[in-house]
Amino acid sequence: MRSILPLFGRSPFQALQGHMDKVQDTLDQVRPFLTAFLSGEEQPARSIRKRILKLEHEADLVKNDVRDHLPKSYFLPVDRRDLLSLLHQQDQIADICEDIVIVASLKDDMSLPPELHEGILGALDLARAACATAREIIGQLDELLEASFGGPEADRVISLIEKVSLEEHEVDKKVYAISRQLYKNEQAIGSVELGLWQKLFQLIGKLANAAESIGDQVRLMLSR
Amino acid sequence: MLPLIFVLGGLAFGLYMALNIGANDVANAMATSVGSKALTLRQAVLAAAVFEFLGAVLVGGNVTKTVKKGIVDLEQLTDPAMFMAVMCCALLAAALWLHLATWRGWPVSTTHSIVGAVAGGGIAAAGLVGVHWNKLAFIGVSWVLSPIIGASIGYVLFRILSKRIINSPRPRVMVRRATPALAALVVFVLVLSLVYKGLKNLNLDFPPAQALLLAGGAAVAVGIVSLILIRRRPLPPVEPDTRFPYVELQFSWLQVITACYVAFAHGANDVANAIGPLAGILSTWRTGEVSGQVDVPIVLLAFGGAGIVVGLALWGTKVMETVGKRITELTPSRGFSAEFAAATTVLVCSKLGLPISTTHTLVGSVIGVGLARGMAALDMRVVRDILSAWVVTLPASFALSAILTLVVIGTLL
Repeated sequence: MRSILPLFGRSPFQALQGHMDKVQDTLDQVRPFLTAFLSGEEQPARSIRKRILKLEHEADLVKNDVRDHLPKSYFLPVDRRDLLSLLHQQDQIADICEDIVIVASLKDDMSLPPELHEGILGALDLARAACATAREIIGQLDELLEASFGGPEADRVISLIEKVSLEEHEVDKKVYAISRQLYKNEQAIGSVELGLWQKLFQLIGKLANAAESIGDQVRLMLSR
Repeated sequence: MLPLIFVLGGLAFGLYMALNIGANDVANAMATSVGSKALTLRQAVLAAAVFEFLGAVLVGGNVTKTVKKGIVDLEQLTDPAMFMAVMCCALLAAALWLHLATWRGWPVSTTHSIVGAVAGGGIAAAGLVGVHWNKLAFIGVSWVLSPIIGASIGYVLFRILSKRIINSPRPRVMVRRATPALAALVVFVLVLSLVYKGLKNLNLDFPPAQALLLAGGAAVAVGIVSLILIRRRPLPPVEPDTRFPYVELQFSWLQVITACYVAFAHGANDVANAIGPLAGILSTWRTGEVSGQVDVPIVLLAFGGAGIVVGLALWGTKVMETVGKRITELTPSRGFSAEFAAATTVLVCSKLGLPISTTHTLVGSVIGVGLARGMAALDMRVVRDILSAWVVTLPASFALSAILTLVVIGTLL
């Protein structure tokens, strides 16, 4: 006599989108942080840093919640491993945001020659665009389910996946260019700071890599 | 004097079973409709009441006959009082078990309870030869097959729908074309089940050709009416994100029809759980011998149907309300596929006189649609509940009924 209700589980996609929203909140703080950091405004940079660390932790909590709610007894329309690895890739973005603010706080009085400011902010903006595309892909999962992972809906998502892949390539090119410029200023910056800045540039590249792997993961789900 | 006790007992416990079915099982049958918001709570209750009753009265006789005299071997159980005692104890045992299980929150199937109870009573009264083992085996096989068949129909139907409509380049246009055909399909199956060997109770029996013609006519009529209704409303302007909501809106209309279809099939199969044994008691009481009359009187079917409707009106509304609030992730296109698959399976089994569980079939159908990548998440723990109907309900109601029968025969007869 018990109802057939327990048959219907919680949608894993909405949970995934909820996590991605948290990741986005974290990422949104990185540009204001970097702007304040580059112009040497210590007080604002410190408070934004704290906010980023807090948001990253919240994203972790959402991630654990999603994992807990994907018990083995669930039958899902996509492979459970795909979903979990998608969640992992999303969380990578928040983790990288955390790494950026941590690397930036390792040494006091870090400064970058002003001619590089535009370059690093430009690279960050490109990476943010890639992450926005990745978020758009995640936002399409419900529609994809409605279309049973086929048809024009799938084509639309495939084109988004191709877009994020192009954006990642743009970020790589930009990071390469500003790294070259960085080493040209080796004398002025000093070798210790040079290593830290290089690390920061690489982290920005990694943001775009994480966005691209979200696209790749969804592509895998579509091909099954 | 003695048989009168069994008659009154049969009436009381039969009514209790019918009320129970109405209060709980109907909510399951309508769950997918309320869940996808195709029907409001009030509409769902009304549709369920009307079609449950119609299904019980018009097609309920076949399964009732099986429960009444297909399980117990009437050649072995010829003493009228003993036969009535067995049937009465079976009803009491099933009702008691149902009450206990509902109180403790255990998953249980009314179909499994009553079949187990009738078999238990028969064996207690006449030994191992007291039941038709081959018929029981047949019923057992149908319990395994019905969810599988429901799943297969659900899978294939949803695959076709997603290929032809949802994933087509123009889903909004396609759904407008398909809706009349789908409505006609449901009506065709429904009417065919009615007019082909269905209306004997009303002294209307059509030969196959005539039945096909009638069902076809009704289907075409419904198709034309829905075509006109759809043509009247122009296609709303295209917005990229409103394609699917429009498609699902069309399916929600279709789902109103399948919801009625499910209620009809449910009434046709499950009314027997309440009045099957009662039919045996009453016909024995009237004729004074066990073999009795062949057909189940329409008044009795109406009694069972009315019991289900009253149970639904008194307690089922509350169950359905919780159903409607908690259910998620089931869009009308999925609900349509699952309901059509389940109702068709149940109705075919009803025509074959096989008592099967509507809930299990519906669960099978929903899983079938899920396997076609139609649903976000299915909690497969429900399958465990279904298996428990086998390993717990069946032996429990069997044993309870056997003990009651032995006690009653020992003390009263």
